[in-house]
Amino acid sequence: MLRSLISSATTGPTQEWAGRILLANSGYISQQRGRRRTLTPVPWLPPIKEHIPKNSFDLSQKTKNLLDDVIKKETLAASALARNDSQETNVAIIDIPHSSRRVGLVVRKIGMLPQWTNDGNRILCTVLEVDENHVVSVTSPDSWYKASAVGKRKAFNRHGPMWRVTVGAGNDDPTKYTLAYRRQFARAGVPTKEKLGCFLVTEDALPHAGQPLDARHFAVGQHVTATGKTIDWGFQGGMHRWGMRGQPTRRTTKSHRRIGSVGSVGDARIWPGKRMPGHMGYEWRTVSGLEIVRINNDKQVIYVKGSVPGDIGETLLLKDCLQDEKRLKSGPVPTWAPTLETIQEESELSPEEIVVPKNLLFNETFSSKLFRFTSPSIVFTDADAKRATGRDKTKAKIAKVKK
Amino acid sequence: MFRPAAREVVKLPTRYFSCKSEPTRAVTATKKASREEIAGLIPAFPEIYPDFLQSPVWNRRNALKEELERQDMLERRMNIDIPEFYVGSIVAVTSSDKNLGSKEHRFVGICIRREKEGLLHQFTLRNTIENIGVEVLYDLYNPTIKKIETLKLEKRLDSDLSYLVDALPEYSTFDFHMEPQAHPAGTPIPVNECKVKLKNPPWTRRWEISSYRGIDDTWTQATPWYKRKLHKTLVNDYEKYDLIANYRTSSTKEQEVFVQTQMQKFEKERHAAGLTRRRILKSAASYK
Repeated sequence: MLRSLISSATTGPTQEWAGRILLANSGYISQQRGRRRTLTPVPWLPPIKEHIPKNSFDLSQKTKNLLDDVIKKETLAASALARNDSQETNVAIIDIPHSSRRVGLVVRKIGMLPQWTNDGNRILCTVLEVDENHVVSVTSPDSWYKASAVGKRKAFNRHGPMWRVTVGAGNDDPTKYTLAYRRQFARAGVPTKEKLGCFLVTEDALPHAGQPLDARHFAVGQHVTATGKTIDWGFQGGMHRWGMRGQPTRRTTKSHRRIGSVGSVGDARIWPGKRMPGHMGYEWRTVSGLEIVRINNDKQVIYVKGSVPGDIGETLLLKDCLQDEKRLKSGPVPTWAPTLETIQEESELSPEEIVVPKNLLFNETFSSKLFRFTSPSIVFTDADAKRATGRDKTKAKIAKVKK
Repeated sequence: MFRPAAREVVKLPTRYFSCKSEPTRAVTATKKASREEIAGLIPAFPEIYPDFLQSPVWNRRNALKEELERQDMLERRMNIDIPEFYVGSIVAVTSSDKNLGSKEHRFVGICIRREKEGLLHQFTLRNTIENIGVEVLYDLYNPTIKKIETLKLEKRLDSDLSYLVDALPEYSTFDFHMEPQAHPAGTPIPVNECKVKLKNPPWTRRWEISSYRGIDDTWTQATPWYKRKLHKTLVNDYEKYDLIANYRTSSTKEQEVFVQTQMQKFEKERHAAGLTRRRILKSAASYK
């Protein structure tokens, strides 16, 4: 369901692709080979981007500069307004009930970095950037499901009625977009956004339209769910697509990477769903249970342990993890706001340890098990060594003599 | 008469292009190097600091990610002295290991590889211990590393000495109790023009068709079967026709200058705060 919502919003349909689909639906072609990739937006949706040729208007340089200036100031004003507005909203860190669903963030994957734990183990982290997230609209369950392709059961599920909250990320030049697309941002009083994502939220955790979202919406140590579009690998063989073993290097010819047998002797056919070479990737995938190990508040960057779907530069939806053990027990509801900001207490450090002044460092939150690069090299003691479990098997077993 | 402001007069052209075939740059090479040195920049920066370069994969270059990564790397370099070393230098690494009795381990060997950028940067040391070749791969920014020492600062003919695995063991045998040899500051890094003798084939890789300069005559040693079957064509022979190969895979001069100024800024801040006297950006060859 989210898939259809997202695809309707994220990117505009390209003209040639839309043409092909319409042609296929016109009735002359009975068969469409391959799967329809549902991430490609459906052709009947209105376009989002509007291309106005540069030379269609005869603007002087002065007018152009003025126009740029106005756009820049409008963006700034909208951001400032939303920020002031968020000062007045009611937010609190409370226990989150099991049935409650908070809003998520629309983030961009900017790379992968290794980090080390205090035990000296390396963990590979994904770096996610939260770029100017604002709530664009909040739609009641009744109104959103009637206007969408999904049924009533999604809006009124067993957890209760679900509101649809649209979140926008990344400010962009409004002149690139159509009026209909820009209007939704004007209504919410936020700058024009490049990317949109939708979340299903319960009424008790409902943000209001125009509310800015911060990286601190999530806490360090919390587990999250990342949803996004996987890398489009194109047509791939069985070894890459399904992890099949292939065939021997030697003593075989022209079948080193082939999949081998595809069926049995009995009924001479291939069973549906047989794993075979084909198109790999460009699918909407979710990975859950990723731990947040570090958050950079200044740069609005989240470090997540493990990997997320998609290539670097792709946009993802980040939500609270719903697994029972990894669920968020208490946190800011509906979202984090500057009123929740607390002055961090100075942690007790041994006097000989050199403390780097705070103004030289980023304002960051670390997981307690993560190594900080400002601290000296790790030195182990006997307490860290792995304890032998059970008896020493290299020595003979000797019965204890009771005295 | 219009006279430009004094600020404009002393402004240096800061825009360099890394295209090697650019004739104007080749002519003024010596002049430009000195100008860089005045600004405290190191001409051989990409060789000394391969970890501060951009990723050769263009998709992975992201200014924000690089900034965060660089911050971590510099913080680490404030806590541990990472000396200058090259592929071919003899390096000793002392690292903590919780499962050893002494809780630390020192390994000495020749650096045969330096790969990857940023926090991912790795180097491999090779030595022969009890007639068995041992290669240890270290993450440069692993916090369990306590000390890195360069015992002998020199370069070899190649920037990758992977062929030592198939060379005779004497080429990769180094004494663990080797005395460090001081490099006189300000002199160029010596290049050890030693050519190694390989063992008899079969080898792990086809060295006879690779373009390594540090291998002594591979073709005569290649088995007759290979000689019959294959032409004497090098593996990446076509690469010499790729005119922009350097531009595609290496970072640009502008980026190098930018990173160096960032490193200088970081150093200056830390020195001003009285935290350390350690210098991060330094070069043995261009020491003043």
